[in-house]
Amino acid sequence: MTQFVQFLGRGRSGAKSCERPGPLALHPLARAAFAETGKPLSPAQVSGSQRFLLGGLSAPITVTWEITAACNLRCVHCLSSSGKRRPRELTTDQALALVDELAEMQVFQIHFGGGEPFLYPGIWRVLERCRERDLVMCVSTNGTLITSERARRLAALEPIYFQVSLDGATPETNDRIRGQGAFQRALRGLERLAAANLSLTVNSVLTRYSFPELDRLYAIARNFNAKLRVTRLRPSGRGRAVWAELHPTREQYRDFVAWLREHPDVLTADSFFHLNAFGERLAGLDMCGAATATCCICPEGEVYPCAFFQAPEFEAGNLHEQSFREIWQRSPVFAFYRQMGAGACSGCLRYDLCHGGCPATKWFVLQSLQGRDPECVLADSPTHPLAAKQETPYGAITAAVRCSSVTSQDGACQEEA
Amino acid sequence: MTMTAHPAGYRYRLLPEVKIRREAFGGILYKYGCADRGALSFINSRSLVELLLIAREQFAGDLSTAIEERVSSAASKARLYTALDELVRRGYVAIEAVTTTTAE
Ligand code: SF4
Ligand code: SF4
Repeated sequence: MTQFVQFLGRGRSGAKSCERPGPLALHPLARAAFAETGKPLSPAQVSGSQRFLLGGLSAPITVTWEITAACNLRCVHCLSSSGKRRPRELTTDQALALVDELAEMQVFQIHFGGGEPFLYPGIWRVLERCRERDLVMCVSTNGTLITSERARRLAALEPIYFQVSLDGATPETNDRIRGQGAFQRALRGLERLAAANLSLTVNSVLTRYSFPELDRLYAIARNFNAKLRVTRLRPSGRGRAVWAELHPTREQYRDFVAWLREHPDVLTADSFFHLNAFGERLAGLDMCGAATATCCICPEGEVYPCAFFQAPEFEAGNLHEQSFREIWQRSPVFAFYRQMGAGACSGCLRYDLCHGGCPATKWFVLQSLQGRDPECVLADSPTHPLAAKQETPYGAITAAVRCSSVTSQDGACQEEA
Repeated sequence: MTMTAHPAGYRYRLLPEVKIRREAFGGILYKYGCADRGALSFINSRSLVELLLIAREQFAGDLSTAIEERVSSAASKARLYTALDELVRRGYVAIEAVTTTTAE
């Protein structure tokens, strides 16, 4: 059964789905940005799991699906500037057809976010369809709408995982980001999910204000039998306006790496792989998976390389015009993204650990993909002099460094049989 | 179904929750939860991926039987068993001791 999400009717109709779009379909800003990064990496230049991703996979491993922009909170750093429902959000029937298509493509996992997913009118039918189609679900929620009855109903949908957001271990720290009363309401949601024995993670964006509260966040998570997952603040959505004020200091990052070593059960997924450049690879995926291992579907059907890369010039396609499969396989944005060069990081001997950092962060801070990650941990190091200088809204960013030795650790199973 | 023991008296079984997807370089194994929990591995051996798929589809996940019935060369068998040991270590495959060999 193959059901494409192909519901025309949007303003931009007329896309010829069977033709492979040429590079000319790229937005000029995106084209220039990709070109600046230089030659694509050769297989010899990459190691670990990254070399399997070079040419792109047949389908994503995980799809992040921001199913609605509706949200009952107004977090100051919201990556998708959520608040109100948007006019062209996918209908439930369209969403169900999309689940079927993702299942046909053998996507392994769908990560629902928003907005607040529980404000999407068809959320239960969509989750149940995922269950029927054997797709693993992860739901990121602010936790405030979880009732005991909902928690029990969710328990019937296993395997399903929940990430409940807490951006501080105290009402003061959390609520300055997530709004008055959000802390207590999230704790109640956690309590109810935990009572239903659901698999839980407390998801916390690291800011310079939450950093001193990491131990207490860890204790809160343990209290609910949950894991703690610390993620990186990115300057996308409303996060652009607060990034300079909230992002952790270099010293905090260094201490954070030490803290992670003392707390090996804390999850970071891929979000902190630029910190690997301190010299030691952190656990978890170790590279940018955008457009290769993952991508993001937004409420109105827009598809982007990842949830943090929601810039119109990098829109890979729209589900109102093309099937997801077509976008994944033929979008010029994805094709170019998969061939990005190392740009200013090409001389860095820690490239193998850091991969130049997060492209989305680069784009939103530098308006460039070729520079170093704005939070490059080597940026101020006297042993790594500037080879080129890039002025950014946040000061000078150095480029083309030589660092100490590279370690290589292969996270993939590669048996030749 | 006939359950065949590995020569050492063990048999390898693919865990039912493991998902397998073919890719141009070989395939991907995924077990619930990806980066947060569970496991994800890239495998650059098509023959190993095919063996896993055959074991699931035709031998109810019994990898030892799949190898014994579908692989003739001793060297290939040995390589596959080595690969399976790695998959055991990564949590995709279980080793079961076989006390009696049954044939139905
Ligand atoms: S120069 Fe680039 S690759 Fe090297 S540590 Fe900095 S961001 Fe990472
Ligand atoms: S662009 Fe940045 S946030 Fe997105 S997947 Fe890559 S590293 Fe992660």
